[in-house]
Amino acid sequence: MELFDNLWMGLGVAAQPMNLAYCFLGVFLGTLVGVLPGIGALAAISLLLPVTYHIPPTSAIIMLAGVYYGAQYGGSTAAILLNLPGTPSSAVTCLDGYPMAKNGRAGLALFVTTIASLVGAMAGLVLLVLFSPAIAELGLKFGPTEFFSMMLLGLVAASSMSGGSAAKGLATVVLGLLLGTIGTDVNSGTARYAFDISELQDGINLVALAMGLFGVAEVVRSINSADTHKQPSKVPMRAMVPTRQEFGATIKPMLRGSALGSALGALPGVGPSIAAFMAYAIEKRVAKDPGRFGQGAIEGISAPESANNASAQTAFVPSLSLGIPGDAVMAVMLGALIIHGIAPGPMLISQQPELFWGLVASFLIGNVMLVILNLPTIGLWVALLRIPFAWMYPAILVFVALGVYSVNSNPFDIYMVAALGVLGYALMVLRFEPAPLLLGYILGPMLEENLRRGLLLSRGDPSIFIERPISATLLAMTALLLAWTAWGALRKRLGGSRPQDAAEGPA
Amino acid sequence: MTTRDIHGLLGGLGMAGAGAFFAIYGSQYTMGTAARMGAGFFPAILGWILVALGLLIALPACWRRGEAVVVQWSNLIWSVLGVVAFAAMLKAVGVVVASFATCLITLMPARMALRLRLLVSAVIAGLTTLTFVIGLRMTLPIWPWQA
Repeated sequence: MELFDNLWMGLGVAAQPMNLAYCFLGVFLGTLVGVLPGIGALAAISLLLPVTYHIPPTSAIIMLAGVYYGAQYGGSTAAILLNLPGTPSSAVTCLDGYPMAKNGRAGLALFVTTIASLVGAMAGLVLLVLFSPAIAELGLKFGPTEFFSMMLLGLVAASSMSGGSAAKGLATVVLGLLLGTIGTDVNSGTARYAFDISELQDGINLVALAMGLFGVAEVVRSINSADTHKQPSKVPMRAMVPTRQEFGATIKPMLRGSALGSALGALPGVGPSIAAFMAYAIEKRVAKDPGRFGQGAIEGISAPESANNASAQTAFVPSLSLGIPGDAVMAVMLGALIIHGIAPGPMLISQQPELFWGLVASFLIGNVMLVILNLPTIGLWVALLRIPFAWMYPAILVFVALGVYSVNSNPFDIYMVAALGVLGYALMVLRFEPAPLLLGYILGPMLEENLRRGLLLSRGDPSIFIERPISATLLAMTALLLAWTAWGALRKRLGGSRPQDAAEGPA
Repeated sequence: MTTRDIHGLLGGLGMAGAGAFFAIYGSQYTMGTAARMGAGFFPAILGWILVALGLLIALPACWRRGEAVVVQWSNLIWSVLGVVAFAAMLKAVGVVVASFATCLITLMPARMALRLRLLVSAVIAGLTTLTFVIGLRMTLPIWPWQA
């Protein structure tokens, strides 16, 4: 079996001591930022970007991916113990996890979410392994028109579904695309929007943008949020083991959540948060007594946790098989590959088999590490939640400044981080989601390149985009999505005079 | 406290302004034709799309109610100032002093006793030096007299 040969080869790559170490570092840091409310996976990945310049690409991507799925595990800890989502996708876990903790069943809740996370992740992994090579094969037939339409669909989906107003999301994506055009144009050599500043001729530094938007801006927002002053209760190990009956009650929700999360995660724009929300809604619908939900129903934590971890794994499908990231985290990871001169795209799996299969195998290892990290050592993470944020955020800011400096040894990048931090904070204050901006920034140059090539092939005739069937289908889906969100916004406006913020829903 | 939807209004106008800037400033670059695009083609299209989207956000916000905008000015100013100070000081006085000073600056909005402030800053300065200069071997001056 070719699949098993490949997996075996991947395990060989992932089990190299250095890769094991980076995998551990990644999942450890992921759990850390997942547990801590206020700092997300994106901030941690941005902070680690400078490190990736100095290590081999496979190790780099293994580490960054570890942060991403590690944060999904850690996120539930703060949700259960403090009623605060450590990551956005664990917001659902608060609904029943916190009531469980108040009833003295915090240990059980933590155990169940960890196991549910593992089950979800494994389900997602199976889907990733089975489908990515097939989709990549399909992607080899793609020309520039198909890539352009696919990216357009990805951008529109990610911005209009990410929560909040669709127009705001789209505007942020377009701003990101425009920021991506800054720097020397590869085709003509013109330095665009460089204002005769030599540093800007290479474009805005990805590290500076990511750190400004998600390091500085997040810190500014959470310095004195009241959230960070709650005290969690102690969790003894003995309280974690579920009874046979309790465990039996979680199996079906875990499987449902895993299936739903795996399927949704692979779609562009549908991240772990949406998967978790939908899994919760389904459990509530199929339950015999929906009244228990919100008061500590065990299904209410196991299904969403499976779903968000499954979708965190399948989110890699479009990124690795087509080179098209579905959300900002994936975009940053592809950015890390581009830094190393590896072009993401359908050729990735066949040209860099060690990277792809090594990464996949590292998911297996990393998830097992996470279970070990999250169960016996839960006391450590609980203790961490007692540390005031004020002891940590100055360190984050210093690390941001020094980290971005380390890329080019140029203080200009630190000033850039400060300016982009102000931009990111302004976006947050005005209730724009900053994540689509990063996605646009990374996809911008690729989008432009494929648009140019497509129109060059057709001698300037734009109808080529609707004459080729795959491209036409993708564009039709984009148009439908736009029409649907426009209709939703219109109906909301006609529907009544309730304040706009209540209607914006969960982010 | 409800007023007009300032978030949408300011944000939309800001976006439209940014779009107009990119489109107009970008008009100095060659446009080219659709078949052979110049450097200015793509940003110009995007710029005008952003103007349209910005207006689409701002106009409905004029007659919709919303909440007042809350800006944590002191957090913003001190954090950004800390980062800028770090950039200015790094090569002049070395990592230890620069990170210590940055921590003190960024801690301004936090409620904390002076001794604890100094302690937290000193620990962070030490950790930073250990991780970056000694651990990751970045070539940077550690103390002011090495700068």
